[in-house]
Amino acid sequence: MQSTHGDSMSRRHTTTDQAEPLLRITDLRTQFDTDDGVVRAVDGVSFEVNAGETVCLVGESGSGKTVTAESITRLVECPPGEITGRIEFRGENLTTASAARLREIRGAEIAHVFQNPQDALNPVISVGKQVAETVRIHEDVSERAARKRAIDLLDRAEVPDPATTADAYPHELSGGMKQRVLVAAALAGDPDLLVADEPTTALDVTIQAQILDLLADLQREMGMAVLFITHDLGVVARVADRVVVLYAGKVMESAPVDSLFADPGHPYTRALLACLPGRGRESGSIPGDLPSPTDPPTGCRFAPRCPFAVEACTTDSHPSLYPVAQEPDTDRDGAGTTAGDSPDVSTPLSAAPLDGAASRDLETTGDGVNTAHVAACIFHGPDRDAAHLDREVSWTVAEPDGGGR
Amino acid sequence: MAGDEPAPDVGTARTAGTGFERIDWTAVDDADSTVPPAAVAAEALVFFSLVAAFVYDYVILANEAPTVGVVGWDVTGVEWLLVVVLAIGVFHAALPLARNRRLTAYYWRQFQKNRAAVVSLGFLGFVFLVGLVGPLIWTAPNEAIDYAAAYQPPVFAGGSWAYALGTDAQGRPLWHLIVYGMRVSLEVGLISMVFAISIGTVVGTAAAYFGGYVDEVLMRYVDLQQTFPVFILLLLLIYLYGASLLLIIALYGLFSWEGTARLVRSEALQRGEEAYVRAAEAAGAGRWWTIRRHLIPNVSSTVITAATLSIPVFILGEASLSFLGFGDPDVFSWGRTISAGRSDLPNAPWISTIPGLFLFLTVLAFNFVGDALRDAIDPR
Amino acid sequence: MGMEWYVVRRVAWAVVATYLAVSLTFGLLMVTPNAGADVAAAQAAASGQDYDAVRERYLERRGLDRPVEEQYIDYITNILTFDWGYSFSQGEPVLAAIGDAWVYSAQYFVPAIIISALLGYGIGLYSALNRYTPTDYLGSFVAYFGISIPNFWFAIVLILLFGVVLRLLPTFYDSSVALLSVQNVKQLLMPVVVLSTASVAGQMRYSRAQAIEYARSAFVKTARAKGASEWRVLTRHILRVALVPLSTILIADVLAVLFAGSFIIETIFQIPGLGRLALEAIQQKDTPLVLATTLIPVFIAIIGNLLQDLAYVALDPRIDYGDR
Repeated sequence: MQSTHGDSMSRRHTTTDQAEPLLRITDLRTQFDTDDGVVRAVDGVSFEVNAGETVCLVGESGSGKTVTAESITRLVECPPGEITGRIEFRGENLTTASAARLREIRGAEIAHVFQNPQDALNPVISVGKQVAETVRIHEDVSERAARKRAIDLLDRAEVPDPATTADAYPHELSGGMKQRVLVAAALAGDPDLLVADEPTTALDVTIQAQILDLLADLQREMGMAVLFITHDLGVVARVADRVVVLYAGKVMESAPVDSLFADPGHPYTRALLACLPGRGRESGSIPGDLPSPTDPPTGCRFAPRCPFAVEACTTDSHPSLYPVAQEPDTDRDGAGTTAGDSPDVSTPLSAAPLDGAASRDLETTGDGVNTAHVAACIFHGPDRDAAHLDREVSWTVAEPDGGGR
Repeated sequence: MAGDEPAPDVGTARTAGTGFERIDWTAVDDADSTVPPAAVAAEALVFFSLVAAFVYDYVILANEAPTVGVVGWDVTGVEWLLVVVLAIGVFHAALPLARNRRLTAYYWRQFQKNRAAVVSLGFLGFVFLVGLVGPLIWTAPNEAIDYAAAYQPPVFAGGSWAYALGTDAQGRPLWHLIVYGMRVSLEVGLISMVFAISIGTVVGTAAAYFGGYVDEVLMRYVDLQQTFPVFILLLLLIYLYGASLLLIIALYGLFSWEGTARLVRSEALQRGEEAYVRAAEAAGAGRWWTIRRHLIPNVSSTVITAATLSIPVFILGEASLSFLGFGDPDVFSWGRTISAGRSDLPNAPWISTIPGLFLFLTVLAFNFVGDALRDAIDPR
Repeated sequence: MGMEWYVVRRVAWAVVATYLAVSLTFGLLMVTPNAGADVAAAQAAASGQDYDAVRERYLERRGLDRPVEEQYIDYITNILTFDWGYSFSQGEPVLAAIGDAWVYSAQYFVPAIIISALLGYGIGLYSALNRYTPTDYLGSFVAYFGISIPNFWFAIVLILLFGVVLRLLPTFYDSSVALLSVQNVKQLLMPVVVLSTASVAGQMRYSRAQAIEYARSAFVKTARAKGASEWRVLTRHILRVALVPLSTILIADVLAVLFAGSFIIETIFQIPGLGRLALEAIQQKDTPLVLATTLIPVFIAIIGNLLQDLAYVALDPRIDYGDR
């Protein structure tokens, strides 16, 4: 799949760093009050999306991707949910915006496409009406005009025979067709940001590619930004400009797609990449389980499963990632300290002597493990100097398999 | 789950000579909850003695003679049924719960989250105990008629402690009427429930498991029964045959299981598709074995909830019939007492209102407990 | 299978159900001693006539001594041709007696159904969208109260409070009051409240549960993501889907709760409606009238279920016409 991406929406590096980003999320926290305690589904996430670019939010199930995406326009149910932090959309903070203002934004400026097209359409309303609904909510148009627009949108979403299909009910359409309808409904308000939450996961592989192509074409035509949520690194490679890696409600790493694949910084990212087939060993899974959502470990959340963890990882002053890519503005650690207070990070890790998959095999001796980790992370706080010293050690990427623990 | 099942024995499931040990997985899974042979024997003994006692009462003893001579208690047909139902309750609810401590403790923790339900359970325990032993302690209302003591107000309305809840037009203490009413409600609620739930479970499981024509015929009948309003049918049958508590209980039991049957059927259909049932079938388990060991235990949470919530419906139904004058003229149903007090509403409002309050609280408590049970054991 | 075939099958099933119900009543009459004959014979015996002779003459006159299959065909024909016999307790044909009575029942029955549906759905849906708020808790409490309170006791308490103590409302129904008058509204107030309480509570619980189920569903999230207001989500999406199961429950409820309720209400408030008519018929052993008042609710139930099945066609495009 990766080899067929050709002209898709990837590889359009944005260089407009100075301009205000379209969406800037700062220290977003979304928690849910449950019977078993407070679940911190999203726990201090920060990232940005620039106009026109595609940002992929990657992580395992349960990492908080969907909650992050649905927190943007406050689609999570509150209560029991509670959202804090700043979500600036064109400079306007959405976490404090009124419900009425949010409704104006939803659909018209920020649109959503959800994971399972099977359930995302109302079963008793014709699909044409459901596409037209977006138009009618945001514009004062007649039913007839809205229907014409809906047919036009269905046509643009490459739904065959749109005038007839508009009168069909969801159960009469295939999964791929339903997803096209949902894309049409999302685009009906001409949004500037499309939040696509695993839009292809529930579909057949052949249909997946079609939907990805459709999204790429429409993105180009309409010039919108896409926040693409997925757990599929194959999809990431195909669509992303930049990638934000999420684990247990925290950002582990964020980087442009090229440098992320070439030089994954955080051990978790490497573990994820190692799970891809054709990466030196058969595809596998990361040993261990996600930490408890009600009582996460202190320090780095990945530390209990991380083969490179050092003692400092399990404390609050755990090693912090430093930016690996050339774009200091966009690649930040979400866990607290920003690149701004790490002046010693000017040497990008991509300068390290590693480039392709071939050199990823490495010798992990007893303390080689630690070395690799420290090279990937940089201490801040009192230990920063020590970390700086250790970084001089040349390193290689370890495959964090079960034996390393 | 069921006490009348032979205790599965891991040893007998092994067949020699095949080279493999055939392990009966259900026996292994249920190892800690299997029914000890002693319980099976005890249950058989209890039911045998009940049947013997019943035959003794009806065939050997004259109709007038009291069954238990010492307290002068002549056991009626409905009371025999109640004893049977209580025995079923002991062997199929109380004993399994006591044996399976860990599960019981878990359910109790879940149940305890609902305060109102815990209070309700306490109240129902009180009603159960008083309804069970109360008629042996307090005299029957008709033997307590005392016209000199008519219309005594309850103690909170200026009455005396001798008649704490007041008396009715014939001077019968209201408390006696209420205690005997508890017995009636107990009988109606529990016996009808056991009838209805048993039939509903059997029909629902059979329809789901056999499918095809069996399913079609059974469900068509359920449709028909649902169309026919039970209350109207009851009135017609009472008109034709005359009112008796036994008839009312039997009719409620026989004609109100369609909801349970539907629920169990859809649940069993869902479960039937699940891996463990398929695995059991693939392993060569027989049909009845699959139904009894896999389907019924797995729909039991649905059944328990439905059972709890059906009890108040029966109690209310019987009270309504009695209120309208179609109840058993020989028993002191709450509905009958409420109806009798209607003409004295302006001067003695307690005659209607106090039994009504008990009826209301009982039904309310069952609804609270039923909903809490659903949350505790049937979390969906 | 097409829609037409589905409709034909549902109508056919309603006909079969009607036939079975009528046959059932006939069967019950056959296996029980004739109450009317006993009454007539007992009266005759009291006035010095021969009990058995009078009883036989009574049966003969009504054709009850003929072979069973002949009687059966006659019975079915009479029911189907609306020749429902003569009610001696009312002194008029059965259908005329019913014609006089139904107006009184409808006066409180129809408002009670409308209130159940509107108030029940309204509060239920509101609670579902405002969960864990004081209003929601209050709603749940009221619902428990409503489904648990015995309606006859509730009626008595209301009469005691508003009729006897406060003297605001009449304690019983006066059929001489004009239909369209304030007095009539006042005397119907308590019957309507009592009858609809249980039903409102039932609709509330079901609609709240249904709406909560759908409020979490993906299509509602899609609607919210489009910018739909809560009102729009509720009316265009949740209610539209929930209407399918809710209408089933409403019909079942109307049939079960309200039928039983009408007997009680009419007894307590002395309303000369169908319920009272049925009770008098039973008390006076007036078999033709008992049969009529039994069959009418059954027919209403069958028609209600048929309408419900047909409503599915309009409400739910997913219906599988081949399924039933």
